[in-house]
Amino acid sequence: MSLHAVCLLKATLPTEAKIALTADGRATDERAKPIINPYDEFGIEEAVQLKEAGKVASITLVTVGNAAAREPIQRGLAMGADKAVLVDTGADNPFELDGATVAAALAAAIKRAPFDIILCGRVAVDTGAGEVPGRLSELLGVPLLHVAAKLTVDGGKAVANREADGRTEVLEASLPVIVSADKSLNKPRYPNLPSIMKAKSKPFEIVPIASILGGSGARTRRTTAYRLPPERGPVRIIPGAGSDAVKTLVGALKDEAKAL
Amino acid sequence: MSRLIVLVAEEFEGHIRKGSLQALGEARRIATATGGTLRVLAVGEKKESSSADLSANGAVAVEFITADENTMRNASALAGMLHAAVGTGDALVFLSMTDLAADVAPRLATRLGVAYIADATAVDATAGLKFTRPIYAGKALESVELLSNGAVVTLRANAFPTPDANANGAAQVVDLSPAKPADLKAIVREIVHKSGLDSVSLTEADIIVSGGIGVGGPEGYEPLKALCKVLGAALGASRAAVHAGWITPDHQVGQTGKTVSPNLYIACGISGAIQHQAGMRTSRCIVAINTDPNAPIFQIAHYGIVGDVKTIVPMLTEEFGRILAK
Repeated sequence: MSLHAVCLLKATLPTEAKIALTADGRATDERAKPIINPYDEFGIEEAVQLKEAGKVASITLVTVGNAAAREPIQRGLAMGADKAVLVDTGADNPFELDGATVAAALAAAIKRAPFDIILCGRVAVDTGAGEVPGRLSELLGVPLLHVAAKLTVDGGKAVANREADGRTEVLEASLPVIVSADKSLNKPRYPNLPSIMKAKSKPFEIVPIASILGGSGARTRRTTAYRLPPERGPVRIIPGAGSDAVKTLVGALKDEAKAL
Repeated sequence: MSRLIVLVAEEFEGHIRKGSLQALGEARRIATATGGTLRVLAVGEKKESSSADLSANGAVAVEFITADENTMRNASALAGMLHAAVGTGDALVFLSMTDLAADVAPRLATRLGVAYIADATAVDATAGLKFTRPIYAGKALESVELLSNGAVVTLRANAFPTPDANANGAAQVVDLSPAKPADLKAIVREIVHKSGLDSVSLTEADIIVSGGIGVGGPEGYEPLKALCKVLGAALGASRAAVHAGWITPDHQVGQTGKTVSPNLYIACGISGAIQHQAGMRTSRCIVAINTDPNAPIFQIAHYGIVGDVKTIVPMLTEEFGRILAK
């Protein structure tokens, strides 16, 4: 097999970021360094493992982002991808783009070259929408194996296990296919120093988003405001740890909090 | 503008999902507020109990798309059928945010050429339409307006009230048979049902009892299961306990597990790391039991007891049992 793999990579804030409102009302952590969306990392690792198994011949990273995505993309190259394409949003914050626009830009960028398998995360940890894989499947007319916890690629077919509603669904499709990764798919590697150095000279193409969209990908929604969740009052610690404390707690839950 | 509002209810294991009933209540409220018309679609095997659920929760007329399990869990097939059933891109289509909706809703939005608003926790229909949804694992909220005429919106389970059941409701249920797409490229080869301890879905549960490292080991979940039984609760777990192999991953609550928003969340022996908080912080009432008074869980809890879950949980089971028996 010598499949061509495309890995979608979104640059997101790390999950430990301390989100606050900026002076102009945006919700972000201005001191946090962007990372590869952790779910996309599972996709990249899967592609690299398929390459090491001789099934994938080349891996192209595709990102919709701006300068902030450079370091995460370098890390993806260091993990074992061969080249990268950055669909550049320029001064526009990619976080504010809607999923329809992002999916259209990704589809246009991906369609420029033949592909057999597209790997990505099932969701981005910043927006939490999980919208792009499904939209991309519709735009490209390519089947999607969504939220894959296990994947096998063999004989022109991909088979994935998906955990949903307490059951395991076994999904199957012929290539070309999109696979969105869930967290148990694999354990992403830490690139070593030689890989990091090698990554710096791998091909890195930058394409402005307007030119790749060519009029498609019209915006469908807009965020008008951000806010932080309401502050909560301090916890009421019930004194003690014996049966009296338990009785007090249950009484409070029943009568005060009306939680039963 | 007279809005067409479409509610798609999801049947699961013979009943309409609680989240779908909550979405139905919200869709009716929005239809009334905007002077729009409401269509209720349902998808599933069309068991008698499902029609009864819809009748009892205020649906007047229901169009039921009958689909076997393998069709229903094939996102491309279901999106195609819903697209044919909805027809127009000017509709507001609501679904409960379930595993199935997570697959189908973005596809349907693409086919209809409209916005997809995922996991909305509030809808403001007073002047135009604004949707509130969590971002950064709930650390912030965004308010979103539509630029397309219609939208597909998934509503978070337990973010909206469950309507009071009315036993005298009687919905007229008709069959809707949109053509199943012929050119399906992905198939559901099989669905493996696991013999789980509970079928109380975490995301739809009213009460969750959750255990972390403080329960001490796999057998430490037995007292929690007994408490679940008395409360009719679902059983949750922290990532650390799952990683330790004490309990299976489908119980995991947190950023990389399930996001839950029950009426009552009892955290037993859970330290409350940020990634766990992300999965349960919007619970209406949070109780924390932990031997460490400095555990971060106490920063988001409403009530707390500083003590050992091994002694406290059995006492809770007894006391809840006594109170609820009255």
